[in-house]
Amino acid sequence: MIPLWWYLGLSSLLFTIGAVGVFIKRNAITIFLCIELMLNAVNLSLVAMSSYFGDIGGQLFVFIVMTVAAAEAAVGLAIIISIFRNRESLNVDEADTLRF
Amino acid sequence: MGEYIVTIVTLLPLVGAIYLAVIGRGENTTENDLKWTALVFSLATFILSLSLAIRFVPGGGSQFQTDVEWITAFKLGIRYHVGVDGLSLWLVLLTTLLVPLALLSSWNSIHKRQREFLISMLALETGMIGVFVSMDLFLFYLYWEVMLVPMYLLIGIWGGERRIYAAIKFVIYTVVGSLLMLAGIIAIYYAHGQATANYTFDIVKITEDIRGGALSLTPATQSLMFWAFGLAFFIKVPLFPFHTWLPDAHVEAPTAGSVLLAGVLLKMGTYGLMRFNLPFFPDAARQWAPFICFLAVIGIIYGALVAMVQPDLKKLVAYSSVSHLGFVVLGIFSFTDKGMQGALYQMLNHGISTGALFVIVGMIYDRRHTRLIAEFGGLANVMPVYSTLFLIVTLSSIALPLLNGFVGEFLVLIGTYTSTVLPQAKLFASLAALGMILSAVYMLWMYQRVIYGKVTNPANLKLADLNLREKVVLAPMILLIFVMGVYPNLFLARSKQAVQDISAPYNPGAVATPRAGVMNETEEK
Amino acid sequence: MNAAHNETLLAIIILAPLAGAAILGLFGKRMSERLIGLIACSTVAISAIISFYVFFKHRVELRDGAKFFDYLFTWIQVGNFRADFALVLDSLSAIYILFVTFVAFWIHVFATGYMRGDKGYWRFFAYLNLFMFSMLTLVLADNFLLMFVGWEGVGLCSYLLIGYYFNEGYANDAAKKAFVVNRIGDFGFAIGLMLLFWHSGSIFYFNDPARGISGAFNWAMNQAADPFTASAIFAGGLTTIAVLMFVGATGKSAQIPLYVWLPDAMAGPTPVSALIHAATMVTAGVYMVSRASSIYTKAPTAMFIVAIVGAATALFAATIGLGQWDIKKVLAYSTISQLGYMFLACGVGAFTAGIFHVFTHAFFKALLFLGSGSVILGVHHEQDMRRMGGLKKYMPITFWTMWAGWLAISGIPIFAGFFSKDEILYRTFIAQGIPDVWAKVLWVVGAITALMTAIYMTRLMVVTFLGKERIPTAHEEAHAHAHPDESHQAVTPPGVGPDEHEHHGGPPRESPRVMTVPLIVLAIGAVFAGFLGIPKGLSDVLTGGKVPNYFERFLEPSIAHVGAAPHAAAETAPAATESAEHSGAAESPTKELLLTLLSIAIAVGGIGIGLAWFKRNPLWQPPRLLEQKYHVDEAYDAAIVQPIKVGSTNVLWRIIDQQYIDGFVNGMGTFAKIIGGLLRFLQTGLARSYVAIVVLGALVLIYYFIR
Repeated sequence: MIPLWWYLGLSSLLFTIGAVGVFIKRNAITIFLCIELMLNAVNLSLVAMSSYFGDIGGQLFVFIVMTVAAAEAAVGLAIIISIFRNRESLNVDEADTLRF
Repeated sequence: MGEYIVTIVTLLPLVGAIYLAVIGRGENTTENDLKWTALVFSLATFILSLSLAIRFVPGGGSQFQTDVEWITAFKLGIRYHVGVDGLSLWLVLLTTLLVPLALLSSWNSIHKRQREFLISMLALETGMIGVFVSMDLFLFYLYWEVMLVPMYLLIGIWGGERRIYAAIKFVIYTVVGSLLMLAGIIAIYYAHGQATANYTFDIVKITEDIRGGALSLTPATQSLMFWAFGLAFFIKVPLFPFHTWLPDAHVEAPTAGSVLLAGVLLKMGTYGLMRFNLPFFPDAARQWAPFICFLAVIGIIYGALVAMVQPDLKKLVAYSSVSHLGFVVLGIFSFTDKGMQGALYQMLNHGISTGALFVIVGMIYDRRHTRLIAEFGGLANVMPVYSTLFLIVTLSSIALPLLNGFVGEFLVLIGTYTSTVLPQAKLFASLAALGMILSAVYMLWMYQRVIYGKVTNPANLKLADLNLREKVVLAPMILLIFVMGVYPNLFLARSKQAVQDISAPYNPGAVATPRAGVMNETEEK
Repeated sequence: MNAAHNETLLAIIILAPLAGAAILGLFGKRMSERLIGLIACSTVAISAIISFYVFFKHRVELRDGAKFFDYLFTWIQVGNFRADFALVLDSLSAIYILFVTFVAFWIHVFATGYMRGDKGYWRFFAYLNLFMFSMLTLVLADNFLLMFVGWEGVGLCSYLLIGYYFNEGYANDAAKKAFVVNRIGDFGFAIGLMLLFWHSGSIFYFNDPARGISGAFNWAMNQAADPFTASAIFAGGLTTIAVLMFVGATGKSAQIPLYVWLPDAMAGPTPVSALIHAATMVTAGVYMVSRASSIYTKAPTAMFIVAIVGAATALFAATIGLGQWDIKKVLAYSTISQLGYMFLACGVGAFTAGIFHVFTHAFFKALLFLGSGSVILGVHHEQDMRRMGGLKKYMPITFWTMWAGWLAISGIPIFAGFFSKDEILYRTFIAQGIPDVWAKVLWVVGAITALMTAIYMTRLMVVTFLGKERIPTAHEEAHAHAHPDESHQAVTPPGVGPDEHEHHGGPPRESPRVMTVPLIVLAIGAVFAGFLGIPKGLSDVLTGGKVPNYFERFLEPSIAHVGAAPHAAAETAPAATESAEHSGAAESPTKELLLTLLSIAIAVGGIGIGLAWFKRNPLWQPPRLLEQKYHVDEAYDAAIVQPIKVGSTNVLWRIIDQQYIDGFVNGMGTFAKIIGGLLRFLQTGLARSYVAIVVLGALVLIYYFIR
């Protein structure tokens, strides 16, 4: 049996990679992938915890997160595509129309 | 249908609104069809609501109740509980009567988005009736907020030149109050649940528990909650100094909107005070009564004085509402059965009289597209029927005996004067009676400038007198003005029990030790 | 003996005119003048006939203090407050309905002739009938609130009828003024009423066991009398009630300081002035004070105020009457002055004398007004006496009937006014309960007023009927019509007023029979009505006391007496009569006879002075101050009306409402805008900075939870 902290360690590692990616990358696609990475990091910890506590609720939550992630992927990619059509660029720093 | 009658009356206008929204999007639907549809729905509502009055048992408490579980999640105790008691019966009828009249009164004066206008009116009606019949705080709040939206649209879309300003002002004023009320609702819900281990929003239950002593709040808590609820209602009434939204809203709203605004919406404030503030927070109400009566008296005199110098007819009527509603608040906070009966009666009177005044102003606005008093004069020469009806409504508004206004105003005054709970009651009543003089001044002066004299403005020479539709609009109101003035017991007998329930806790022993010369209560029909 | 009876006919007395008003108001527009006149007069005739019938049917019981109730329905009932729509006939209301319906009927008849050809004929008679309903309700009401209904109702009809010529600015102003000034009085009345209810728990006059009602007067009669001090006015007891109610009376009955509306009220058609502003409505205040005599007699301070105000008004108005040129204005001030007399009587406790003067005054003042109406019509709507003169030969019937009215008001023996006026002066002279000096002062004021009354009435008669004709020629006439304000004519433009062409041009002429017959009937009343109440002293001397004072004896049970023991007056009427006669210990026939001779001398002297002076100088210019009515209207305007108007506009509306309150509200809006303006700089537009803030927030939360 692999102890719980291995899972949690991997999960936080993945989450940190995702978070740092969101911070430093400018390409919208990359940022998007990083977000997905963070979500899955959380999924991993949820599954691990669920199994550890013997509570099925955590796994249920994972399903919800996956559904949301799928919806988000669809919407997010659509937005990214329409931004690209307008600006010919995927640099998020250039999409600042809503700035004050 | 039996016990669902209240629900049907409440929701029928909404059904009408939805029906209007979906039907006849094709080309062969004329505006006339839409107008008739809306009118039929509102008339059907009125006729159904008449059965409430007919079948109502005086002294029978809350009747025609429907009480079912609604939102069960988290054991919140939100129920769909509606019913009609002596307090709300006549207000419901006032609403259902005024809506068809308001629709008729603006039959030809809406020139854009006719369909949406009718939908707003019907949705507004559901909101207004809902407020009066809700016996559940959550439901009450829901309707209270729902009603805001169509009113906002009515002012903002079909209003006059400064309509946006007026609409936003109206909404912000009201929302500030109602958010506080939401806090108050949650607070009393929580306090009641803590004390009785029964978490419920049910108004009847909470009232009973407070009356029975199962829930007793400290005076400090009561004060806080009193103002949380009260501010919402005082703004709606409107009590001086929360009144400045009213003139703007009235002036900018279309005629139908003004009629309902003055006729019904203002009464929600005073209704709320009688429904919640007095039964829920007796100590706080007693403590704050002198201050509130002080504001009410200021409102009476101030409203009258400012009304006197208004150049715009609608503004004049709007400020006169501030004055008249001051009487209502004074009557409520006199804590006597006479004062409260008078206040309740005055609400109905004001709904009828001021509603009729707005209709009347709307009629000449339709003809001349101005409301400035200076533009008129000598209308008696060209519009005799109009002038006569206008005179009757004017007299009703200045409380001439045997017309409706007198009964309410006098009961409020004598109730306040004889109040044993309110300090300085005699002084308050005497100052309020000054309003009697001032109302005669501003109303008669206005009437004189509009109706009497020679026709000085050539634009007025060819004005047509009232047509059949306009007479039909005014006829029921004029009839009610007389009936309510001559035989008020018809109305008072049905509200008696509800008012006594509210006033009794404030006057312990009043029944036990009758004063010298107390009269037998023989009129118990 | 004092039991309550039922009399269901009473309702018809008030409902007949109401029905007339309703019929005329709804359908009158399409009726012929003849039909309208018929309906209006017949409904009043029904009231009059029933009034006479019930009076004579019950006169014995009424004299013994019986009361007849007619309960229609309960009007308002809330808790312990109850007001019924119920009527009561006692000796006071019985006398009132008699002369009100009688005089009103003849004025209606007169008006059918006077208003002929007027476009608003139906409207006029509808208002007039509505007035009759209100007036009779006022008189017959069995509680104060129903009296208030009539009280305000007559005010409304007065408003409508003063403003009858609604195209004329001055008529509308006068109407509004009348209503508002009356409302000021009603304010006092209403508060007095509430105070009475607060004390007694009832607004009914009398007990009615059948309905389980106890009356306010019973409570009042069981109270100890208030002390005769100024502080009693503010003590909140009986005196306060009485004073507040008297405020109402000053409004309705045109006493200082609220008399200002009555002279302006002459803007209405002349029959209205005769009916409302002379014979009936304006005496409502006297009626109310007499009705509440059981309250007033317990409040000596209030009585004193009533007497002082009455006497002051009598003198004040008489002086103004001397300086007026408008024939109706003279009569208006004369009415105010005579009303002052009536209050003087009430104030010194002689309520019966006051009511008697109301009674006689109704005849001769209605007569004088109708006569002036006849004159005005005869000289083609001219009201300025300077343009009359020598009318005697053109209008003999009008002259001779007015002649009777003139002698009556001046107080010449055998004419009606003599008896009542003499009675009042005598009662004032021997008044008890007020300092003796004051009694004498009041008497002197009353006597001077009597002298002046005789003088200005003689002036009116002389300037109008005698001397040279000063009727302008057609050319001058046109000139006069160019200045309507100057001549105060009641002529209205075509379409509303009487048809000018019909009346214009030609020499003055006598009025038609429909107008002269009422004059003659009223003249007979003005001559003989006084014999119903011959003062005791006179009766003793002339007839050996065989002819009693019918009037006083009849009213006795309805009137309380100063100093009467609690519970005595109403419960046991005959005993009260006895005690009243005993209490008048100061009365002595010789003194009364002396005073009577003195008042005859005053009347004759006044007429003599008047004849001597005005026959020679008919156009004598009265002092400016009198002609300008002491500038009271202007003073009120400057002191009250303008400050309120200006204050409301500039301070309340523009500053408090628009600057402070709206300023605060709009300030909140601006404040929110400023905050938002600052916060929007957080919106950098860089997605990564948003993320940074989110992560920062998350870290803070995590720290908070695992701390």
